[in-house]
Amino acid sequence: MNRYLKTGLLLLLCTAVEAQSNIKGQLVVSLENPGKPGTVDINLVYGSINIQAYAGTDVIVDASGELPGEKGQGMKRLTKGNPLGLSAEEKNNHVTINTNSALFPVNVSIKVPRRTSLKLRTYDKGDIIVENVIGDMEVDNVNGSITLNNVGGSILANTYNGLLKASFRKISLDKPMAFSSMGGRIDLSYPASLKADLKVKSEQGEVFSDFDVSQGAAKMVKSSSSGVNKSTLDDWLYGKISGGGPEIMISNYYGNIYLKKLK
Amino acid sequence: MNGNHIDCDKAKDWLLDTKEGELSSDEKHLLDQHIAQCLGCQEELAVITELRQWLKTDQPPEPSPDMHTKFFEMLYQEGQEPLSLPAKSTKDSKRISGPVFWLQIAASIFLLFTGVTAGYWLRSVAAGEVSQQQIDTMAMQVQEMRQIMMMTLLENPSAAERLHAVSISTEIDQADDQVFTALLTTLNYDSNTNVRLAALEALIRYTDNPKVRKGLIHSLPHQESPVVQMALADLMVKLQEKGSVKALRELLHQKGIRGPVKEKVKKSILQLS
Repeated sequence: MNRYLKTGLLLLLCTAVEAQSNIKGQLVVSLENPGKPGTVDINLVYGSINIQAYAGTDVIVDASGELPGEKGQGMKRLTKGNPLGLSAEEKNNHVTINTNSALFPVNVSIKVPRRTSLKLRTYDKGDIIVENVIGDMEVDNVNGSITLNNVGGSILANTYNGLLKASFRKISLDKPMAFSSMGGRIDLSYPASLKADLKVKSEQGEVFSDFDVSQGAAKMVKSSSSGVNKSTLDDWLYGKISGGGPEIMISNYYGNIYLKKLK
Repeated sequence: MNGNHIDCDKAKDWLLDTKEGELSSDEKHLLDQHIAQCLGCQEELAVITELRQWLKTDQPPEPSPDMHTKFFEMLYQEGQEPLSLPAKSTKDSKRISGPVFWLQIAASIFLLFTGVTAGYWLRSVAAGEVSQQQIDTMAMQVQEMRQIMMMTLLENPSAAERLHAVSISTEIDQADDQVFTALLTTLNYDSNTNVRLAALEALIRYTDNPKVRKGLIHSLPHQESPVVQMALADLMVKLQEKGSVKALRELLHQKGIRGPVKEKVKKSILQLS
């Protein structure tokens, strides 16, 4: 089987910085096969995630957090070696990053090679930002926003309360995408050359687009109970942009949906 | 041919038939009328009658005793002069008169042409049937492949691929239980909210299937994502699925259910009961 690289490949810096219990740590993880796109997988409970593409081949993780509890009454707090609980596992180009984010918010910013797949999740007290990365992405937030800037690849993004904003670079789309939210606004910007099948629903919000969307017929919801056959029109809006292509599913409840042409 | 008169050609034809008793009484009457008027046909009748008479009475001659030897003599002579046979055949062909010869060529060309046309037509009809069959088989194979592909992709660790799998499932014309089960499993257990949501959306088209409806109701308490919970509650109202009230109540008591979802579920229960 494959090599199994575990825990803190390179724990370069993990020092308690000054007072205010503000702690920083850095990890550099090299991929087993730098020629191939890797995957970065991070699952936070409290905290934000910021991913930036850079020209290198390693995954560089910077984490910071503020320890909870007493302010130390003018004294310096002596902390254990790795208060952030920052660690990383690498296996077959798949990097999993772990922190103590369940105890207190840990903000993680990661530099990744341009072509990297991402699996990001946080629950509270933080936003998710991804910039310039190309790859398949699974992004989940609950109370914060998701901002994907100049990205490429197939995106599945879901947030409960926050804004969901994504802009795509000019790159051919070949796989379906999905965006869903509950109360937040969904704001997507695609290159004008977009070809896609659309499947959109906003229960109580509105849908806006400056793309030419040729709307298809709504589907029927069929039901039969105690001999009565009933058909209701489905709420989903089906449409095609420039003759159709991979499917883009956008679902919202209270928020509006904007589908814009990239200017 | 008109009803009352027949020409000499027809009469000659009938003359040959008349003795065999193959003519109807009307035809015979017409023939008699014609013969009474036509000198040529009277002669023809005389010849035919004589010929018939002769055929009836004349005994086939007995082979002469030396026929055997004569035959072999002739055979030997034929062997000696091999050129005589083709010479004889050219003589024969010369005997065929011009128009008949050309008619024969025309007939053979016509036959050839008819044969080729018929063959071609038959072949194209058959080929059409075969290719239609092939298309049907291939369409079925494509369906099967889609299904296999969907099943395989649903196991993929990449959420994008699983989403792709769900969207493939909407292209399967006649989904079977296997597809339903796969989609319901995805709806209940997939790690990604959007994949679950897509699976739910894909299942909407099969809500008239009792198994799917049952699966959807059973799925209610499993859902932890507010987006999917609300979408399911909505669907139950749309389906007027009274059987879902119990499951909706269960969902209401789920730990960590969010305010808006609670409101929605309560409303749904009211609408259903």
